[in-house]
Amino acid sequence: MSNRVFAVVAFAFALAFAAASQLISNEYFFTAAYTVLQFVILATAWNILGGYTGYVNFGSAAFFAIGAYSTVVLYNGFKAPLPVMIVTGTLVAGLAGLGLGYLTLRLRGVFFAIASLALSVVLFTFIVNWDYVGGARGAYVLQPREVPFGLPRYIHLLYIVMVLQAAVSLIVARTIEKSTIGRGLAAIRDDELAAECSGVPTLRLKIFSTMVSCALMGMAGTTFPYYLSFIEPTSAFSLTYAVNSIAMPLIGGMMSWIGPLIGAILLGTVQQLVQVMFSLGAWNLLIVGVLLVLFVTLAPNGIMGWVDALRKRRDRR
Amino acid sequence: MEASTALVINAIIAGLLLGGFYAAVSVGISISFGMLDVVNIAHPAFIILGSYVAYIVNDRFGFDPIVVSLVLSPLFFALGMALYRIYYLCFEKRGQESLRGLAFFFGILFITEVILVLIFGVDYRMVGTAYSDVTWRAGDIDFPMRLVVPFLVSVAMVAGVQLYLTHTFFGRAVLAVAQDQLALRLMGVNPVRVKELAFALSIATAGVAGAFLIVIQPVQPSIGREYIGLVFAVCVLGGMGSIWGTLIGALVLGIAESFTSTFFGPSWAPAVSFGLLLATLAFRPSGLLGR
Amino acid sequence: MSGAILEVSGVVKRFGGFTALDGVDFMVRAGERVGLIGPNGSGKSTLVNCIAGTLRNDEGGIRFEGRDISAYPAHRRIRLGLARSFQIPKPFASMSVLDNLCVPLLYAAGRRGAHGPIVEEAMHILEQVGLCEKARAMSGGLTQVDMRKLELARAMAAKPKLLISDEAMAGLSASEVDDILELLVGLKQQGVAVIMIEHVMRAVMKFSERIAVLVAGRKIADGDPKAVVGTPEVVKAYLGE
Repeated sequence: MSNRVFAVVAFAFALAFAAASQLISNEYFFTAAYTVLQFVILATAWNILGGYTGYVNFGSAAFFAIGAYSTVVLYNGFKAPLPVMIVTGTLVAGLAGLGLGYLTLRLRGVFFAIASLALSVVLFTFIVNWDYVGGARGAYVLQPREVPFGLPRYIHLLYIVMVLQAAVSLIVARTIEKSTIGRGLAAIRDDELAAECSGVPTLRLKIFSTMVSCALMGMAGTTFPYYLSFIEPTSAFSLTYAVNSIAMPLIGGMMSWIGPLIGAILLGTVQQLVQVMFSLGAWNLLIVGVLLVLFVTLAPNGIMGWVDALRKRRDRR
Repeated sequence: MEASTALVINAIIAGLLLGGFYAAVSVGISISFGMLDVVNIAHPAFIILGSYVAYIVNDRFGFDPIVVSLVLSPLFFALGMALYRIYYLCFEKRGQESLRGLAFFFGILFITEVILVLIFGVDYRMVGTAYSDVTWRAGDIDFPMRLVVPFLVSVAMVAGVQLYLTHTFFGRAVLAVAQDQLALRLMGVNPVRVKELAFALSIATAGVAGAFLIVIQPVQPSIGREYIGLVFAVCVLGGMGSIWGTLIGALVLGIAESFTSTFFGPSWAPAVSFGLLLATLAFRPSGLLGR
Repeated sequence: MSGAILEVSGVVKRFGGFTALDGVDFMVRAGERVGLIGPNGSGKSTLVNCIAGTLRNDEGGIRFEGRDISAYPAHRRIRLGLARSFQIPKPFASMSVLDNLCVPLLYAAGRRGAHGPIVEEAMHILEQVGLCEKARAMSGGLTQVDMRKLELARAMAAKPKLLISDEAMAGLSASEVDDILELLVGLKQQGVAVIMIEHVMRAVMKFSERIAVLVAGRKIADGDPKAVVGTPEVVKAYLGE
């Protein structure tokens, strides 16, 4: 399937999901779906640097929060329209990724991982102390009273935006994966030194991969302030984002774009169910953490890896 | 004494005292990451675990937390051995340490924090010791005992680890395994066993350091995450795997944090360690003492 | 220097207090077959790494086709046509044998490589090294000798003008050594200069038009294979071999 065809299919699905949603009467669906879609984007984005390139980013929350808080800045500044906020947040997050990558990608992958975690905390401290965006108390970002396109409630619009963003992320991820750049990234993942000696400009590709990954993570955060009409640092920088964006690709399978999608939908839905049934956020996180550890030790290639293994066994017969 | 001079001196003193404690907290990472090349990002989880263990015993029986942690350190040692076993079997042997090992330890860190939240909730816990509220004064200069006692025990522990590594056969085997595993094998020593015990030692120091922590300040489960940057910052600053480097790096960090806290407010303190780490990684990854 | 494709002059490389290369001069002409020998620890691998760009030399210069490449990163050097294989094979384990070759074909071969579709080019090279049937196999599960062949195939896929073969024959059986030797000798037809680093003396003698000897970071001999192997210093360095 060529890139163009896939893009068309992806958008067709997105529009279908958008239209079908108007038939659903349960309002809770939109809140839950928004969260799951957030994870689809984050997991897909993370995997571009994690699964494709082999560099672990512990700071997904930082880039997510950059997206969210650039929306807050634009909202406080001059109530910019939503598309502007989305594009801005994505770009700022991408630049932050460029900065982090440029500073730390010359070192071993381990140091990049630790630096990404460090960035999270530094940024968190910075936001907490920045009154313009509300600091520790948080900021209000009120949903417009009039919902565009005649939709019943604003959350419906947010849902549709997220579906489109998810489609965009999947298209970007798949296009990279199948391209020459994707082969270069895979070579870096498998053996960076050998890749460099095979002509792959490793530093350049790593920085590119980081930028795209971080930009998409920022994109996921741009609508977040509108979700609850309120945002504060602890929830924006929540550990859930860091853990889920690692656990979901790992569980779904890190080698291709399908893995994070499966992982996000499965794990995201499970977490929503747990939340509804037990309403204890901590149990949620415990399940994700335990699954992460179990999969990484016992089934490191995830669900798609298991599917591939089955397929190979069948082909051999 | 002028008020501002007193302020500065107190900031320095507090920084040094904290720095000693930070060395105790980080010496384990010097071993596991600096020498064994295991990125145990879950190290702070064991510190917090140590804090809570000390808290429980102190709450129930009133024993001094530091004494308790020293007595219970074999438990942490055993825990460290078990953890290394799993890590070795699943990752190091298969040659997949980098990404999967990181994810594994991250998962452990995470699970530990969540379990502590489920059991203890997010409230701060503290301990009461005989010296918690005692402060020794010299004019305008304060020496709070809740900082001094952990400082003294921390420095003792760090010095003890350094002596152990340089003066015992096993200790030198650990230093050797960091440099040349093959040579070690040829000498008849099993490097895996050495690494296992060294890693266990690092976890044991974490558990003990946890008791120091809860004497110094109240503790809640998410504090562990703040210490990730700190321990790796100290380790990198100090030049990876040098115990003395760890001590110096820790003192530098302690003073930097203390000054930031005093003159910019305590809410900026977490940024100091991580900021210092980022700066070091970006500009001088071989650390202050360089290797 | 006429026809010189690689010129190494006065290269010094230190690791802390240890001098691995102490002012090495070395030259390779286009299409030449040069053997580089020396006892373990003499600095052969360090020299290879400095030439290939995975290490930076502290002093001295490296010129490739007249161009000073001392500051070039490794990926740029291979794009110019300077390829190397690794002593311990480093396959891209998640890829098939065929896909392993696609990486250098796409990234290093550049204008020199565009004869047709990438896959065909890759299969052609696999034919030359005798790995055709294993094209779809996962590169991580190959036998030792197949991995060595893949290493060389990958270096060849960069369409190099100079190929450095780093101890490709270590630990192989006599017939396997002959396989690899045939491969390397065949490169001459394609006009590729080859530097062979080996301990298997029979292969080096058969292969080389010229031999250079490195001992303790210094080149102590450079010339006709039989003459070099007979000089007293070389014999002394290899006493017991």
